[in-house]
Amino acid sequence: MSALIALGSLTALSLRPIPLVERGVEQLFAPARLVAEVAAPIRWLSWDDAVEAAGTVERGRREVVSEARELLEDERRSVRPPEHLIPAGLRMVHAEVVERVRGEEDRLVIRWAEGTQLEAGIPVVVGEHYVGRLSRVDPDEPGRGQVELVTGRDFRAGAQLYVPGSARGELIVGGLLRHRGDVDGGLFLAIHSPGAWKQREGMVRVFEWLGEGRAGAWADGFLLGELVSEIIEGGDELMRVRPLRDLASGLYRVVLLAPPEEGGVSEVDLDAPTYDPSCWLGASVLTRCTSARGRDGLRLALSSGVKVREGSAVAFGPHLLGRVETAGAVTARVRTLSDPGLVLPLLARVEGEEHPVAIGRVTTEGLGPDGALKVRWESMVGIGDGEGVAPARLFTGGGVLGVPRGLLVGDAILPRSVGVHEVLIQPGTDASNCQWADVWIGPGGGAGS
Amino acid sequence: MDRAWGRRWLLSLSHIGAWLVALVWFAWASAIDTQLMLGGETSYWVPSLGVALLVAWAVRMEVGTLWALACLAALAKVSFSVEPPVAILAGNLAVVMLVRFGRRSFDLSRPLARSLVAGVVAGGWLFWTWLVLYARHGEGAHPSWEVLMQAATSTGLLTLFLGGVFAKLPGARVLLARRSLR
Repeated sequence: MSALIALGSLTALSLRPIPLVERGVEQLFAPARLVAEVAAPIRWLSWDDAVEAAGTVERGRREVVSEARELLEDERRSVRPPEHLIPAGLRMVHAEVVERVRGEEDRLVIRWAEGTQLEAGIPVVVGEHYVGRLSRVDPDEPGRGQVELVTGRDFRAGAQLYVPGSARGELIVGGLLRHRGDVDGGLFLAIHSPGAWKQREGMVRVFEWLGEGRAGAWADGFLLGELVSEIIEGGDELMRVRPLRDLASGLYRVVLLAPPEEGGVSEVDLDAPTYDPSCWLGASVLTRCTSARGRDGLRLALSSGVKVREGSAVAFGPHLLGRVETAGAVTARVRTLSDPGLVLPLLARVEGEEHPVAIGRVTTEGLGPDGALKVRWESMVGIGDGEGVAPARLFTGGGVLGVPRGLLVGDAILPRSVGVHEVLIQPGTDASNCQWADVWIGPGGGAGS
Repeated sequence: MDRAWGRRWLLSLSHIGAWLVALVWFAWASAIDTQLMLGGETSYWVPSLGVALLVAWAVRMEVGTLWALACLAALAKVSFSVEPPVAILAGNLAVVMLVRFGRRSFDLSRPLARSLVAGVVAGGWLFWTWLVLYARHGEGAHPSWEVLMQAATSTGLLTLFLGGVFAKLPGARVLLARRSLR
């Protein structure tokens, strides 16, 4: 009877994990590190391949790092709002998205330069696109705060429909409006109290005509999206706004429009510490954990006393290998990119596009032919004109705690159209036999991105 | 008195040694399994050495020590598996419970019976790992009957032909000395 209870409890914990118990069991199995060492001779069989792979990565490292830095700099330029939209005297404060909390899809956790004081309520933009407001400044952690996105249920922004050569229509936009005929992942902003105008298309821009106040009006002129009008069942007309940025998972870097500071600078930048060696911890690969049904992972040996957070990136040189699933006192279990179900937001350098493209989240589906990674990609806004395909080099984007931006993932041919696509990514390196890896611990060893 | 105490001490020492050797065998079996699984799609035809070893020993071992065997095999497998330890432990406990239940009515140590058990366990293990992945991450393709049969057949055949050899591995003799079948 007690055996049945034990089995039932373990089964329940396997399917619906409780983090505290999970960590406890992981600690209980800490001696597994010694067991892995016992089977080391099996690993030595692929020693030559490991040395060769490490040599290849090292030789290409400088080139990849320089490419990634250039990409991040291009991204920085692309999120900078156009000068004509910024009210005179305002500061542009660059910030990166460090986390999207599960269950709070309409919020972003962001990080900006620590010494910069900001107040809640200021607009948050990406290029000429308006994405929301700074809703909270973390009192305990300088340079951290939360953004409430325009998709939030209670979010409202005054807006104006820009119609060339005619009067402008005023409306209120905010929150999501879904229709059951929408394709999966389709994202539209709701229009509240539309005016009597007859225009059925055009660009919708922020215009705080309700007197939102000083900070709200700073975003006047920024783009909310394009007006979409369609006839639905029953002959009714449905009007809503289609954002031209992927607000669901394609926001990695944003700009806050902040009031001027006396004698202060007009732009506050933020460096990405991706390739700062002090943010990484070297670890040896104890075992490769390939199992049935295509599951794939690694077990890393950790130095005792070093805290590694769950979800942290694991890299082989400048190449992303995977993410830490659980970290015990002396070992960490890692899910590699070929493990089904790993979710990653990616930034792409797409051939023919001037700026990097935040393509949003991809979900891994295991290994494809010739060692390629099979991923499912839900393209929310498409790329460029939305037609055909384009070769692209993929790097990590932002918004995942513990995964820095700009690590190389691989090369792929991306469809430009909106929709759900199956994509094959050719990894930049053959890491199947790697015997060393780096774990992200973040600036100051905190793994906080 | 001293002689009896010394014999007991030696006996328990040899048992501890045998368990440690068993741990090494399980670790090697798991390590070899991992290397063989790197073959991608064809890996479903690759038998699971770890499962074959666990079943080959579980059908012969004293029933009271089966729980220890499950924990030991789990400890070895955890190092080579991306599945969470709690799921591996649950899987191994289920295996020894199945064996324990089966031994009440059948002599599972016979070649055909043990290969049948190994086949069921190999297929069941595939299904269990998919279930855990799906429950935790909502991803992973449901294993088809074909895949389950491939895994079951190859592991069953391995146990059929090598199950007897596994029972004679160094260190196994002490653990598999039968005092009771039930």
